[in-house]
Amino acid sequence: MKIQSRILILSEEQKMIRESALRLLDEEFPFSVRQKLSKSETGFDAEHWKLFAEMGWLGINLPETLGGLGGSLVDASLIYQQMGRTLVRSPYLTTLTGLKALTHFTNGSGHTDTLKQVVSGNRMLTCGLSETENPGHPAQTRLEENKDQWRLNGCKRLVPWAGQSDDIIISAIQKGEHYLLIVNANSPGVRKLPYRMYDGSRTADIEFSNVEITENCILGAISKADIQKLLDIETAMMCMEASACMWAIQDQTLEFMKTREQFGQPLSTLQALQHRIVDVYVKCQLAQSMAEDAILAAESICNNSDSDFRNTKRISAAKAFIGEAGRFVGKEGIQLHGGIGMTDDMPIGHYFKRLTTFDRLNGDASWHRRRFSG
Amino acid sequence: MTDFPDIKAFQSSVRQYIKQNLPDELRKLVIQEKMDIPRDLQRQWHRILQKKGWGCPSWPMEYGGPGWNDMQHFVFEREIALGDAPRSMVYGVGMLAPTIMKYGSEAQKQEILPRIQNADHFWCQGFSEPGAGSDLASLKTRAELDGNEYVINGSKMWTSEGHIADRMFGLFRTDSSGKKQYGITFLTLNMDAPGVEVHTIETYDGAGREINQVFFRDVRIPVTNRVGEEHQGWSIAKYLLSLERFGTAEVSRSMRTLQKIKNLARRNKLNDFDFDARLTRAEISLRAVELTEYRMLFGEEPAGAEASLLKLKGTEIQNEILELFHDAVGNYALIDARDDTSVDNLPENLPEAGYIAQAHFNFRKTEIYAGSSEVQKNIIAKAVLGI
Repeated sequence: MKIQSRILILSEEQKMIRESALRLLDEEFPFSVRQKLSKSETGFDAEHWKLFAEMGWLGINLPETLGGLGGSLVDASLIYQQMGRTLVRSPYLTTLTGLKALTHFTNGSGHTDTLKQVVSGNRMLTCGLSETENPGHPAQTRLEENKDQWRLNGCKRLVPWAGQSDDIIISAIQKGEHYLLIVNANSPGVRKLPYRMYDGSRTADIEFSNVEITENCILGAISKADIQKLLDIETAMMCMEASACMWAIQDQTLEFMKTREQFGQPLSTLQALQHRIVDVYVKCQLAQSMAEDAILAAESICNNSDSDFRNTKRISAAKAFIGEAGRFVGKEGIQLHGGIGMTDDMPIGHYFKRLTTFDRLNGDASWHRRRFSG
Repeated sequence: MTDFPDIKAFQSSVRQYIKQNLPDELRKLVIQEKMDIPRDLQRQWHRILQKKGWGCPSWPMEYGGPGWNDMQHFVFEREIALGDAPRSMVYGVGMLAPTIMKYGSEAQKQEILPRIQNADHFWCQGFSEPGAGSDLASLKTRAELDGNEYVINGSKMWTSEGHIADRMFGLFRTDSSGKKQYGITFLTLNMDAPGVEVHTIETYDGAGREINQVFFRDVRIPVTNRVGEEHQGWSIAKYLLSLERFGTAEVSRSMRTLQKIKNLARRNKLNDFDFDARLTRAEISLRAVELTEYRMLFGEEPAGAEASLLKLKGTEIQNEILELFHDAVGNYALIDARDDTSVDNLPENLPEAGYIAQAHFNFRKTEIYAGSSEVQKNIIAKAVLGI
């Protein structure tokens, strides 16, 4: 056993971050607004994004010199967790990942303008690191030099919010080495195939044909391990979000069971149903422990430049567990609601769609189990 | 962040001490998951630990315990499990003693605690009855006041170690006029008092002598053996049972079993991808219980009834892991290891075949005893979810 500091204990300041995030999201995103946004053209609106910027949420992990708040990964995860609880879909997470990728190289120098514009909410950034469903699968998108001119060819699949983004950070391969590039999404030769996802978020396949790349847009060579680190950090953030989704399902289902009467009594008095909601509660507790462990592991990845195999395993264990537990809780939540759980007007089904999405993205439960045991 | 700066040094000193002082004979029985560890061996081990002042790990210093904080206690129990040392003497050390410290008279403390500490007296627990299992408060074994004595009639069931115990603590019916939780009295008695008879209950796994039914016919005990007030034993029992909440998850034991399965699977389950997948899934589930136990013990909000989920999930995963162990051993795990000839003929490189089936069958009990899984769910529903 490794005895280590491995419980998430929040400072007073962190509790305030969490509570103010919940308060604001609750006010700004009542269910009716979320429903409207999810059916809108872009899936999100600029005013809300501005608000996130004003709150300092976009630059939460950046140093103050770059207009950020200098907060920790845990700080950021507390905000994203509340977006899970309130089921707010936005490019928030992919923006944070993009900023991390950008600052991975010499603190983003040469791109400080872009950084500042992203942090202030004036420019949209996303990040496409995967080309297949296996996270960290070697990039096939090629960066080629032709007569002193760099050209990009290939395709990135399901890049979150790419249709709404001004810049996209991607990985590409050149002579067997991986590079990170920042590509203007409106450059000639960039073709976007946007999709609307079942959980209300937006995504797009991005095709690059002979896209001209200036030297300045090549951020630098990056190892596969470092790409994996960026994905691991993002995955840990997602675990915190999913755990909060699960608790929301638990709370809403329990409340429903207390008020819904059948056979002359509330559902909550029937033992068969009591035991099912207890199973949901237990999964929520276990998932929370795993999520907190994952974010602590991710924070220690952020703080140490060395890759620590144990930390990646902690994150994979969490992702695999929460992936399955989340889908279980979602299905139980719908079942315990009965017919009303099938309606679009009840939040419960929307939480289930989000948790299903969670399980698939950044490697599904099977993939992470294999990685954990490997 | 909670930090425990000296904990690593403490951990290695415990590990070292176990390694150097645990008798081989005992280690072997523990590895084999034997439940009927002879009294002499249990006593010997307790006294080895007691030499370091570790025999009663949960006791405060004023009663001669080590006065450990929760973290030290937690680490100690883990090292005990990972080092293949036996569980501590749960009925006396873990359950009765803290109850006496809280509810006992001065005379009872003087009389009972030193004898537990020195392993002079082995204790057993008389709670369940033939008609009172999960519904413990419906117990009927009577204790009638007659002058300065109680006269006990009836029987207690599932009494672990009843056959090697010197003393029993238990719950007895002194009044049946009111609510069933009222009129229960907490008493202690001498197992060789006239009228006490112990009958072994054989279990389907053939675990040897482990549980018993204890019969009482006009057993007379002095009134001074009563702990707390007459008729008020239920709240004492609830306190006593709450002491069990964390240990019953047996996370550390399951971690040890997983190590053993991995070692075995390396030779016996090569290229069995389905088995590997099941093992990984179990390992991740155990990790979830482990982290939750840790969070409930040392996190910001200490757990109350929430801890029921540890017993619920801990024993579920424990049995899943033992089933995997049984599968990893393969078909030799089907040989009845109670038969001497069969055991002698088992392949030498598969010692696990000699015990795993019995452990696998025997440990079904953990999801039943100390509040069955269904009772734990009722507790969570009522005390945590408020339904």
